Amino acid sequence: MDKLIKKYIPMTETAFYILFSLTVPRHGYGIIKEVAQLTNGRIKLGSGTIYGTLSKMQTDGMIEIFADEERKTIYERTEVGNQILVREMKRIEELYSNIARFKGREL
Amino acid sequence: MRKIRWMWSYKIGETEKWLDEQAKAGYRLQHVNTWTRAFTFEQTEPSDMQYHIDYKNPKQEIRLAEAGWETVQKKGKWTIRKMQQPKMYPSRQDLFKRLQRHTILLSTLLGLVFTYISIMTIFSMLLFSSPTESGISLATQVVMIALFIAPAFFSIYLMKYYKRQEMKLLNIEQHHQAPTFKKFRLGWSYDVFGTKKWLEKMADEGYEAVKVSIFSFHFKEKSTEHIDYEFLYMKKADAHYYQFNQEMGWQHLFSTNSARWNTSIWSKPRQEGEEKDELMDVHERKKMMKRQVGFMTVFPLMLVFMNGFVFLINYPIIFDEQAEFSLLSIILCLNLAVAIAMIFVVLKMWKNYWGAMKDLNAQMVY
Repeated sequence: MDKLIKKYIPMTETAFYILFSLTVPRHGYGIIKEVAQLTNGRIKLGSGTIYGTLSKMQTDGMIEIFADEERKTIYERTEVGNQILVREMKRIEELYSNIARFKGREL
Repeated sequence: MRKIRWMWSYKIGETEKWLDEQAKAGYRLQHVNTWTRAFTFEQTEPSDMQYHIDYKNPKQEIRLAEAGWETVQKKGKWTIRKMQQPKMYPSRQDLFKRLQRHTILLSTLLGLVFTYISIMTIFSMLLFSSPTESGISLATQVVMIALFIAPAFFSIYLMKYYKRQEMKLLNIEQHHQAPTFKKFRLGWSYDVFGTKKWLEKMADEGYEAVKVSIFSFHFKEKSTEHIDYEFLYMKKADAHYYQFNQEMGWQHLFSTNSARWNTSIWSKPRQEGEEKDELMDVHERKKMMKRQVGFMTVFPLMLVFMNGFVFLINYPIIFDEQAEFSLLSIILCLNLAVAIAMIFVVLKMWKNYWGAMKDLNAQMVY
């Protein structure tokens, strides 16, 4: 686990959103749509980026790959994945609260 | 009731379907002996079960039980599960890797057998044949040729069989639209970079490739504004990657019949204004192209050296005025022609490779 924390925290923005979007199991295409929606279209993930990130996370046991009724691939976050995500969210929360404290002040 | 299915593990999809049908007919699977390949059933009420045969895949066990899969048998690396109306299935990746492994092993073995027989044939020819009389009987010759050809045919059969199973396991749909015309492009796999450019030019002219074979491309009028092509080159076909690409809207046009060094062609229609979907970033693409050009140079270069060598040590024969024009001189000319042609093949491939690299570098700078 410590190894994974070292490897994944802090996360790249795309990696974060990919992992974050898997609150429910999704297809690859579903991940693209969800991330685009979450960021108001700012992040448009290419197939290569998603695949690279997902397969790395699969090797590390953060996500699992299944197939649905139509034998299409679904990606699901595992318990390990949840833990890493929670850690990263806490880090970002801290970041955010520090920024919020400075709001209004001049730089 | 007991039934034997010899090749059950190489036809997983068929075996699963067969088990479903047995259940429907009132035969419930009790156990499978993976050594004798015997499936034992007991007669019960007909049921609408779906069976699933899983290989390895240890991480998914708990999640699959949660989803409602009931384990019928777990023995060694094989797990057989059943469920009514399943909503999710285990990943086929490990099973796919097993198929690949076995194919590679078997084809290597066949290659060794083939080499062994070739060497033996040459030796026995040298030993038995004398210039005055043919020392080998016709029957022996026939047997030798058969021994020579049999492994070759078996290899071809194996490759085809592997390809079929691979496509099934990968769930690759070959939705071939009807092509309107066909263009030959011999040896395109030795010029993938030039071929990609050529396909893009064809797309600009209004034609998209819908089917590809080792020596030809089939086209039809394009249906969208743009068509993007990808030539992927991997050490091994990866089950998830193939599936992923397909689900992202990439159409599978071609892949090589081999478990190793897999080249595949994909296309994706794109509307005006839509962003191009990149299957990899520039660095990865460069690495891939480098591997590919390196690997594809080996075989033609080998031909250059072999033919060039044979020509160089024998060419005085052609210029020997006393010698008559013989089969040997024709063969020597052919040797020279092949060597020169292969030099051109390599040069063209590298020229187009550098061209493609330059384009990529230009993209990086903006």
